Amino acid sequence: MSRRIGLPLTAAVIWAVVLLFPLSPIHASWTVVDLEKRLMCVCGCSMVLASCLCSRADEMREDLRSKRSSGMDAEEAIRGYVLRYGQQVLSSPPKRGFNLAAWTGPLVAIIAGALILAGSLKNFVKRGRRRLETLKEGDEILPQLRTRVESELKKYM
Amino acid sequence: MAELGSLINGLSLFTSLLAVSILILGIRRSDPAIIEMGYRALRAVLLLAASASLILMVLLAARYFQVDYVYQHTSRDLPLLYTLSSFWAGQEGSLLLWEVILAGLTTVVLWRHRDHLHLPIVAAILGSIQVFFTFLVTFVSSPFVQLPFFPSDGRGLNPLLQNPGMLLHPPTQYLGYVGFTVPYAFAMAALIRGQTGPDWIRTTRRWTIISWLFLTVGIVTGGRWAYVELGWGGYWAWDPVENASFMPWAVATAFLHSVMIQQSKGMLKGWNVSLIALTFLLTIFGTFLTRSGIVQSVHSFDQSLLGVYFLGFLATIALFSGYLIVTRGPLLRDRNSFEGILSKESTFLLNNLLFLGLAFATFWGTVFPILSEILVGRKITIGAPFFNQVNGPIFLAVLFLTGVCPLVAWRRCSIPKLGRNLLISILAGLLGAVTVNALWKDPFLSLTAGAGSLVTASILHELWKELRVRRTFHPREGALRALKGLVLLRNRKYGGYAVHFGVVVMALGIMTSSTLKQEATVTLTPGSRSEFAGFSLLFQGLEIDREGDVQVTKGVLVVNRSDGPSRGNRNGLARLRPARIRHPNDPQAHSEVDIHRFGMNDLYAILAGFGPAEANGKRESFATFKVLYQPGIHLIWIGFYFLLGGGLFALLPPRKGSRRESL
Repeated sequence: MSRRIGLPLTAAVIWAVVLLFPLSPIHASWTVVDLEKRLMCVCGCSMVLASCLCSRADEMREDLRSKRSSGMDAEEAIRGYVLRYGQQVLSSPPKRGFNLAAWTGPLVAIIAGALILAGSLKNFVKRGRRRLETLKEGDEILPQLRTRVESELKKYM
Repeated sequence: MAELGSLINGLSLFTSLLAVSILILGIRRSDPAIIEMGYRALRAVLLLAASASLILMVLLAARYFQVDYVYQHTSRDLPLLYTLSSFWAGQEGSLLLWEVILAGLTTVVLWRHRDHLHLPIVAAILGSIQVFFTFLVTFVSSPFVQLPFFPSDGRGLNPLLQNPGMLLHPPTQYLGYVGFTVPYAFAMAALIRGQTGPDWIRTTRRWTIISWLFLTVGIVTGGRWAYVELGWGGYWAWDPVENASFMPWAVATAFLHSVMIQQSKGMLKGWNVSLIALTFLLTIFGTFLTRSGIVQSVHSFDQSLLGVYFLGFLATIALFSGYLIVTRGPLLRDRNSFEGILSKESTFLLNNLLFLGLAFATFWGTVFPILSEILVGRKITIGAPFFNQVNGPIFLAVLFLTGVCPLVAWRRCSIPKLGRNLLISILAGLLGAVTVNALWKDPFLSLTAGAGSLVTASILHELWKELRVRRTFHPREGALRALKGLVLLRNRKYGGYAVHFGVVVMALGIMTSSTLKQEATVTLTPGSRSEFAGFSLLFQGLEIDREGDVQVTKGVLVVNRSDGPSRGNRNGLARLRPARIRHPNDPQAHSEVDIHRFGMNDLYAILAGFGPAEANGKRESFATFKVLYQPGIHLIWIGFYFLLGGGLFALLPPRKGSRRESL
């Protein structure tokens, strides 16, 4: 594998791992605050539970507190909410099935963009080299360049 | 008076239609006299739009509640400043604001670029866009609709909008959105005339930077308003409305960088035209997104007619721009070339890729719930955790690139040379990352600190190199004078670097306040204490005020350092009074947060709930507080001032005589 392809590919793989890695794992001794960030308030305000101060949000927090004190596992508590309200109660979609398209869409787009960019750059450089090859020694490029350098130095320095 | 407003709106629509028709006729006949008539008609549109706006202002100030818009957004007890700011509190008023800003900018374009070759076509394009907005304000969403009765009082302004931030945030945001219409119009005019050189970019450089700055100010002031008013302790939630402003901002940022290649090498003509067209499209898309109701549910699309109009306009603009870009393809082909894969030019392209990646990821996350509902019939939510996880690494890559780019040579650069150039900056970056990791042990914060140190060191390195060269030309010049001379002479470049530095400071603020943030919910009875983030919080009790029909309940917290000497219970280090406010016309109580600043950090308190409770056999009050300690949050606002200052500095015209002085 050439270095030119290898580097972006490595970066893409690292990013894919970061993307598909579960969101910050919840410890067995979870707190209400941990789950507040994972769930949406169900009052229709479109806010994450952690941000909402309405009475429904208070009820949800109270429910979480009681689940925690009853020793319920965090994932089990979340599953309960999904069963009751559907996947839209989660603040971000689980990384499986059709939802994978949400997580991988930007990655695919950026990789495609990077490939197009690499191809364009290669073409631009090839064209530049062809132009340089057609110039013979003693052509006017050096005096031109010298004049340009002098004028730029005067202008900017 | 409301009838007069409606009449003026109608006249404004007629005049803008007339202006476009006259301009098209004048362009077709190449008749300067006819074209001048078109210009006059466009100036008249400003007069009419300004008159309509003035009438709305007067109706608001007079609390003329028979006008539905005034009834919906004001009330007798609303302070005058907020009464006037309710001009843009609702859909109808904000569309009128858009119309008047566009008319104003069109007049400025007619005045500033009066001798420009493309002006007739530019004016016709701006006039056509004006027709659309004037049509909406006249027929679809008029602020002058009257009620069949005269209510004794209005419903009042949404309490969340009664904040000084709302005086600044919407107008600046709209100035940013509407401002991008000008470079777009110049780009399309250049395509229509087949003159695709850098002329349109030179002409619109200031327009682009000013629009970008306004949009940035709009976004940041919006974030600041959310922080102090909404009561959830954050400033950015990646909700669709915020995303709608972020997408054009990201594409415009890419455009601001890639135009430098067209200016220096005459390349990327087609790319730059596409980027500015995309920026403009995204400003309209954002407006469509937030006004159609499509983001809450696919079914609400039909409920809002305005969304249909915006969708139609969006499609028209996309087809018009796409057609021009495709048909002018041969003229947009680059004849120049790059000399090396590794060069400043290629880093600009990489920058473009990353910014477009950010815009796409945001777009994808915003529209995916709609796609999911259409394709698999399942509603899902895409909230902040998704955007943070997807966009976070791209932001970090942008930050690293910001550090590398200044030290890569134009045209061609070898890896060993780049390594030598970057050595000091890389060492600074490593030092920053290792130090922060040793102190706080957070990988994301460490990476941000590393990238930030890299950027800062690169800027200083570049400045030092240029100072050294300057001093070989001016050996008698003192260091400070040389620095001043250089920075003033190259204000564009160093203004840009100040913007980069501002971004670094903001990034550090964002990372410290999100990764080191501490939060807790505490329930206290009067006289009881709670320890939090090194502070001792003493609840003194509830204060209940009544301001007219509005009931304000404040929970008083006295803050002391846990380990430090107490300054007494009465005053402490700080007294926080977060409140819950209940307005008579709003069933939902609103939260008024209280914030105390400790250097760069904030202690943020929200009164989440209160009430009487039975304790030890007696009834006493209690209050539940949500408290947050946000380290480094003020870095965000400080970074923003650097960014704003840098942007304004880059806009300054080259100093008279500075070139002679440099010689």
